[in-house]
Order: sequence, then structure tokens, then C-alpha cells
Amino acid sequence: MLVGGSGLPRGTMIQHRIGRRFELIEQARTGGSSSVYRARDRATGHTVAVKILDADPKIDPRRVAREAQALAAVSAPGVARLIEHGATAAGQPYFVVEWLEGELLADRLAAGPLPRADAIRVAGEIALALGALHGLGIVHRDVKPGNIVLCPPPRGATLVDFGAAGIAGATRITTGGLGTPDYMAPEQAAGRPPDPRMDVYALGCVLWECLTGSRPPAGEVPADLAPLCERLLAVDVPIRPPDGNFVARALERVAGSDP
Amino acid sequence: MSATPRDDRSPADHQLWLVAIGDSYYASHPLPSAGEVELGRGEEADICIDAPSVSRRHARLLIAAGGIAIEDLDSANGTRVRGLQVAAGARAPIHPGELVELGSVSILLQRRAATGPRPARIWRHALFADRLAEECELAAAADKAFAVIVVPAPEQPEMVRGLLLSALASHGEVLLGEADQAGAHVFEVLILSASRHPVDEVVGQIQRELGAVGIEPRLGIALFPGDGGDGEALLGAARRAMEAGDDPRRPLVQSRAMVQLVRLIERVAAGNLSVLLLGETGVGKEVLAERVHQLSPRRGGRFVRVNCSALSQSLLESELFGHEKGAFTGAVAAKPGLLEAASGGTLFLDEIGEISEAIQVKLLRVLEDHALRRVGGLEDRPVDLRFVAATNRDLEAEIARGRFRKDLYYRLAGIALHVPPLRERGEEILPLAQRFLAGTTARLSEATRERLLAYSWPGNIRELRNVMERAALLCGDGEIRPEHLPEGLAAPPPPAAPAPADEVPAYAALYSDEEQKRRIVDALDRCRGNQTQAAALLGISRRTLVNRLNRYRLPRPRKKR
Repeated sequence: MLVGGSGLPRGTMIQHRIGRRFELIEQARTGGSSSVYRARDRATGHTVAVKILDADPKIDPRRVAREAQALAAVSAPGVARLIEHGATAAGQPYFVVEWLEGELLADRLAAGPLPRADAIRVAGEIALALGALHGLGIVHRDVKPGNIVLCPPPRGATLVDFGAAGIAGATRITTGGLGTPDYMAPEQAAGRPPDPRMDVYALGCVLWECLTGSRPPAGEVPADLAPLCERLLAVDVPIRPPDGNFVARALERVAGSDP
Repeated sequence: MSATPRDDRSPADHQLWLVAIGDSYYASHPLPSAGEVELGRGEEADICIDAPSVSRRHARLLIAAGGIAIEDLDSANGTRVRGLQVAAGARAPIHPGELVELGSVSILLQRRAATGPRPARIWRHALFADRLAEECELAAAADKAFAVIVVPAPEQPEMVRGLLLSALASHGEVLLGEADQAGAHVFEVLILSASRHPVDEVVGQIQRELGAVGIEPRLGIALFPGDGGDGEALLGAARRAMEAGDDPRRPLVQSRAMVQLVRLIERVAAGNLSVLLLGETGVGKEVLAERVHQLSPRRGGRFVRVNCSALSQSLLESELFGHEKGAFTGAVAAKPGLLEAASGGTLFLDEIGEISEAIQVKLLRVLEDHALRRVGGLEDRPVDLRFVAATNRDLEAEIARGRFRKDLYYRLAGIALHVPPLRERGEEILPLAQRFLAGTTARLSEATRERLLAYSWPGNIRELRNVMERAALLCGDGEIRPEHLPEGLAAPPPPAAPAPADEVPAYAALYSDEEQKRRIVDALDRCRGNQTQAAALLGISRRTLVNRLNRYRLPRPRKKR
């Protein structure tokens, strides 16, 4: 959903247009089962990101609809805005979201940890984005540095890719293969129904990695952040803050006090 | 607490655990779903039970899909199942939950939920407190309730720790913490508002688990929002309840309507506004009046309750206002009244709708001037009172009829709060019923539960308590079946008849004469005309019942008018 910055086409163009409205410009990224293109919205002239999923009979159309619903329902600065969704002539589901100019947090972390204030800010912005989703009963279930775009201010860190989103408390429709093991809460790995506190755990991993440059439990976080990290990353679900908004407030309190 | 609609625990989600309890020993171990497990004191045992009365190789568990058995390995102190000795080398079948003794160590097999949110460890106080603060915010926003329990462990904290984890192993949405309070160890339990386990059940589980090894701690319980609006207040209230040895039978707040009411009371209590509690008889108005006092800055002062219908009006006047020496025959000494006695505290006037015109005038003066004159007295005496009044009458209708002074009503009803009847808070019926059975061995059968839920409870909580206490005495084998309930409850409601809930009109109309009449006739019917019983069922005094029979011109049984 974003481009590295070279501006040159990196992939093979499979088609030039999605519907009548979106002209593909270049391939920006390929994921496990999808490709992301930079495209132009002929209706507005804006640059957009088009994510095309591989046509796969195993993909549950309900899951795709859920991703669209999740995106359409949320209006928060930290959540990528959905413009359109549908299926290509070849039957591949696609999503058109606003184009986010910025660096992927995963790429940024490859260069080492973030300064403390930046780490708290990024985690806080993603916490608020999650809070907006959680307020609607949506669990992202795949929070990781690869799904966070660092946009220039005032936008800030923005959460993308709702392919794994689920409705809190709902029965699982798909089994396995969702989420990213390194950032996945233990109960999510065990196949429990979606719960906002799964995202809270994953956000804890992201915060830890922003602070230390490595994944928990490697490295050491600042002492004043250690108690919050301990709660975010707890196996014991009830000790975790109940949703993203609570994490955002806890981070604000830490940021407000002297380290 | 609030129930989540689904329960996804299936038998496959459960794991077998072995819990071993000795004199000063406690341990729990997960067991495989099939196979053999050797138990003994020696290191080579699969599960090492380090107690002197256990042999190095003591017994073997044989776990298979078809069942579980235990085999004694010629132990020195023997293996007993259900109290019977297992011969050396012999095998005895056992079931989860049955007590097995290895020497003087008791072991129990338990099935526990294998996955899901459940207390995995005990957290230090600082982290527990952070989460507690969040829960207060969460519950306040969603109008939900939750509970905090404190468990003191002055001795053997290690043992209590293990027992608590084991007691709550199958409870989701429960958090455990611990703190050192003035050198004494205290465990803290937070039952999140998302928990589907009633507070009383969690308390019972903790008491059973600790009781099994002879520890009987005084638990302290505090409920949000009734006992406090923030974490510190809740833990403080729970600690005070523990130190006071309070029976944890305080207002049970589970329905949305009651949670909102209690939060309102909490806010109102802080000021000095007069509070008027309106609601049917037996809904718990007195308990709520006392909460107003407890949560107010006047909590250090006295809480004086006066039942305005229990005394003749002339006696009530002298009780309330006091009298000077010689004010009337028999007034041999001056006596301060209840209003003076309550000065600095809270005066609760129950059944305020019953007071005479003369007393209404005198009360109005107290409310307006903060002063009173004793019967036969000449001087005004200042009083500093907060008034809480309650009635099951429709006071506005009484005003329309000229029976109650409008100016007094507006003085008393600084804020008027409606306490919903029990039938409008159905989710509290079964938890309350279970609470009234606490301390007995009685259980509710499925059919009984259905009857309790279908009934309209005209006498509200008081009636429910009476019904439960009676049933607990009647049921011989410990199970309360419909035949142990009073007649009106024992039969399933006729399906053709409109459900009681549908008859409930808008709130104001609840207090119409028709409704009052119907309830009185119902109660008399169910008690075969016995007025004392009917009054008890309605939660009013016999005198009030007789008054009402007269007022509604209902024929008085055995004494036709």
C-alpha cells in the first residue's frame, strides 16, 4: 500500500485499469497473497493504493467483505481510508484505499530503534487507531511493523491491511494462517475468538521493538515503560489494558512524566 | 456480572489436573489425556509429592478415554478412595472431583478449561491497580458492574497463592493481585465486568478451596459502583468490609437499571439534597437509603430510620420531635426526639406517605428552617439533618387528592429516584435466590429456576427471600423443586394468560390503586386470607395491610365490613 520511493515500476503490470475509475501506475509491493499498486483516481485526480488479492477459491468472500466493512466503518487519522472495493473481471477481490506517503515502520526499524519520544508517539497513534476499531467491535489481528506506515505530520502513524480483521467475540470463519506469529498473542495462536486484547498484545510487541530495535523479550525497555510493556505483553489476558484507547492514555501518562 | 451470550468451552477444551493438598503442602499438575502417571515422594516419580506420609513410589494413575483408575504401589501409609483402602497392587476407578488420599495427602482430579483468558499468575499490586483503574473507567462508560475481593493471608501466603490460582482456574476474566499491607499479605481479586461468573459464585469457590485445607479467611468484597467509583475507594471498601467481618450480602447490582441508579445515588450522596426513594414494597429502598448515608460526608454521623406507618400519629410526633417535661401525661422527663438524635447525620423516613397532616406541617418547618420545637416546648432547637424518605405510594396522586402537602413533597424530593421492581431486573433474580440460599446445601432445580424467572414478584426482593428461606427448610434432599415453592409459584404460568411483564404499564401507573388492589388481592389469595402472611408476602406491616384494605374498600377476610 505504499512505495519505497524509487518511483520506477518494480513489478509486471497485469492490467492497466481497475473498473473505469482507477488507472494503475506501478506495482508498489507484493505480499503473501496480494499485490499493491500505486494508481490514479480518475474521478478526483488523487493518487490511491489498489490492493488486489490473488483469486483463490480458498479465500472466504465473507472475510473480504469484513475487511471492507472494517475499513468503511472507521474514520480515524490512524486508519487508512477506504475508497472503493469490488472484484476484477478475473474474480480477484480488490480494495482501493488512500495513498499514504511515508515509510513503512518495518523498514524504519531495520535501521535500528526509534528515539524514545518517537516510539511512544508511534505506538500512541496506532493505539488510538486501534481504539477506533475496537469501539466498533473490530479486531485488526495483524498489527505489526509491516502494517504501519509512518506518514508525515499531522497524519502520523497509520494502520493498514485489514485482511485478518475479525469481529470481537465472533466465531472464527477461517482457520489458521491469519496474523503474524512474531506479533501474535498466545490466545490468538490458540485460535480463540477475536478480542481487542489480541491487538493490545501485538501493539506491545511493536512498542517493544520501536524502543529496543529487537523483538521481545530481547533487549531492555526504559524503566518507566517496563510496567506498561509487562501488561501489554502478558500471557494473562485480563491484566492487559482492555482496548487501544486505554493503551493510548497509558502512553500519554508515561510521555507526560519525566523519564 | 454481565453475561456474554456465548460459551465456547467444549469438553475438548478441558484438561485434567491433579491437585495435591497436604498439611502445609499444595501443588497442582497438568495430567496427560491418556497414559500412566506415577505419584510418589521420590524424584523418579512422574509427579513428586513431597510430603513425609507419601512413599517414594506410592501410587499410579491410569488414564484412558474410558475412565481413570488408581493403583496402589504397596505404599507404607496406603491409598484410600472415597474413604476405602485400596489393596496393594489393586486398582480402583476414580472420577474427577473425588477425594483420593495418599497417606495424609489428599489429591483431587479436576477438569479445567485448557485455554482462554483465565488467571495465569498473581500480579504485583502496582500493575493490578493500573488495570483496576481502567476497569472503573470501562464499567462507568458501559453502565456495568464489577467486584473486587480482598483475601487476607497473614499466614501461609504461599499456600493461599496456589489455592487461589487453583480456585479460579476455570474462571475467565478474573485478575489476581497481591499487596503487603502493614506487613500482612493480602491477595486481591478483580472480577472484570466481562466475567460471566456471578460474584457470589467466585466467592463461594474461593471459600470452598481455602476451606478444604482449613483456611477460613474473612473475605472482603466491594462492588463497583456502589462501594466506590475508583480503584482506591473499592480496595479500601473491600478491606473495611473484611476487617468489619461484613456479611457480603449487600445490594446486588447486576441489572443496567440498578447500576445506573446506584451511580446516581453515589453522585447525589455527596451533596446535601433530600432524596425521595419511590418504588414498590420490598425493592430494597431502605438499603439504598443507607447507601446514601454511607457515601455522604455525614457517614460519621448517625443514620436514624423511622417507619412512619409503624406508630400511631401522636406517638410518631413525640418520637420525631421529642417533648418537654410535662408536655403530656407520662412525660415525666424531657426527651429529645429522633430528629435531634439524627442531627449531624441522616434521617430516613420510611413510608412517608402515611404521615398525618399535622406532622407534615411540622416536618416542613424543619426542612425550611433547620430547627424544631419539642412537643410542649417553647424554644426552637437547631438541627442539621439530611432527609431521605421512601414510599410505595404515588405521592403526586396523594397531593392531587389533598392528602399530602405539595410544599413538603417538593422539599423532600430534592431528587426523586425510582427503584425498579424485581420483575424489571430479571437478571438479578437467580443470583439473589442463590445468595439467600448461601450457607445451606439447597440447590435450585431447572424447573424451579424457570418458575422463579416467570413469576412477577409483587413482594419483590423481600418476597424472594421469604420464598427461598421457606423452600430451603422444606426441601429434604437439597434440591428445591417447584413443589417446595408457594402455591402461586409452584404451577407453571398458564401460557394463555398475558405474561406479567406485559401487564406492567408505565412507571407512574404502577402505583395506581388498581395495581395496589390487585396485588393485595393476589397476596390474600395465595395466603388463603391470612392477613399476617399476606402482609409479610407484600413486605408491609399487617397494620398497613389493614389500612389499605379499608382504603380500597376490600372485604376483610373473616371480618366482613
